[in-house]
Amino acid sequence: MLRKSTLLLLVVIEAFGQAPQPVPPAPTKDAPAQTQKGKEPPIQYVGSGAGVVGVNPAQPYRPIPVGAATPRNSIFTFYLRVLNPHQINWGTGIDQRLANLREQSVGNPYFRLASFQLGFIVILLMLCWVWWDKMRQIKWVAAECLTDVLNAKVLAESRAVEAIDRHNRHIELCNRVIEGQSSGVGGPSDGSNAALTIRELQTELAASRANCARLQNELDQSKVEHAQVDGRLATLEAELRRKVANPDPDLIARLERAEAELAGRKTRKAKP
Amino acid sequence: MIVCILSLGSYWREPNDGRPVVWNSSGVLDQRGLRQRSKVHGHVRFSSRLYQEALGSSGLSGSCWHVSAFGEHLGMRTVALERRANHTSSPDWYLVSVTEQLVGALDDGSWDPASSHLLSLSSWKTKQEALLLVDRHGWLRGASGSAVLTPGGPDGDWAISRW
Repeated sequence: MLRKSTLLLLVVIEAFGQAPQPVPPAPTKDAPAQTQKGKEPPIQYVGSGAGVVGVNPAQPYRPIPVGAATPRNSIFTFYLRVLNPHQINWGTGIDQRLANLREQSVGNPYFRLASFQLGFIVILLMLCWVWWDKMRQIKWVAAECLTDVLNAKVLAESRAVEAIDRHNRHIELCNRVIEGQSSGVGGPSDGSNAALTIRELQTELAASRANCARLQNELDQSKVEHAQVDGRLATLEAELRRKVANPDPDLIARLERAEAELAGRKTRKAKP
Repeated sequence: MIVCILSLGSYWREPNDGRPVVWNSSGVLDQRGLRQRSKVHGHVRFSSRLYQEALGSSGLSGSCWHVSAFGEHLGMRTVALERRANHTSSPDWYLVSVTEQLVGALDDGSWDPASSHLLSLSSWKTKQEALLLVDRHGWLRGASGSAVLTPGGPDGDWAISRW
């Protein structure tokens, strides 16, 4: 509603501004004053410079412009003049510049060649980037697959170890049951206990046999060493006997000389 | 640590990727031939070159090797033979493989826990093969008897006594 009233007001103002003004009569010095409704005094027209002005006898010092009924400007024209005081036609300028741009760009063959080369280079760079990005994605996918495989391997190994242990325990229980049945002992618990006892005894016996073997080995080594020592002693005794039976004359002479020298020294010490 | 090889398992395996390694483990004969059928996983690791050299010179039986420490990873017991040792060197352990034909079926307590290490155990029905690291005079207890390791003994490497 407010918009409609504003629009109506603007239309009225525009119509009033465009309305033709009444043309005053030709100025004559002696023209009788026109009266309006016979109450106001007639306006007199007198020359003033190059033009004519009207004079109201009631107010003779306030000239009334006459004949200068120029068309009144609208508010839009006023603001248009304020914004564009030099009356420049910007639309024409823009069109002219666009024509220059078109001529220097699209119409220039060098520009077209350079644009084609630039586009080709940009496409190559795009292809390189796409290829690099694809390789990066492939690398990540491969790393994920490898990690999954390694994790699965570790998990499978642990599961296999658990399964083997479980199987071994199961087989052990089966063996105990079989041994209990074969031994003829009534209850399975008694049979398994007896089998365990027999196994423990067998283990002790095996360990005792190994210990016996170790001791036997040490005994054999001791016997060998004793035999070697006996042989060396026999050799030394034979050598000693041979030396006693056949004394060396040189050694006897040296021994006699040494005893004589020792006796002489004792005599010299006793004289003083 | 020095290990003397007295006998090896019957299952040999090579890697698929061409590495110069040979693995030996226990195995049994089933309906489809020699298979591992491991109840306890483990193997002995050879370098291919040293393995071929040993086969070509004096054979593997009776040879002494420097080995890595006995290890276990993800349930797989491994001993790696690194290089040959001198014949005069005294071995710390003896690597032997035994079957059920020696002293009968073996179970979890069939070997001396103090002087034996079980590397691998294969079992299928009544057939068994175990690969062991045994100290001198280590013992085995089977279903039909016991055996004591006596390398170079008059009756062979094992002194067997039946129940």
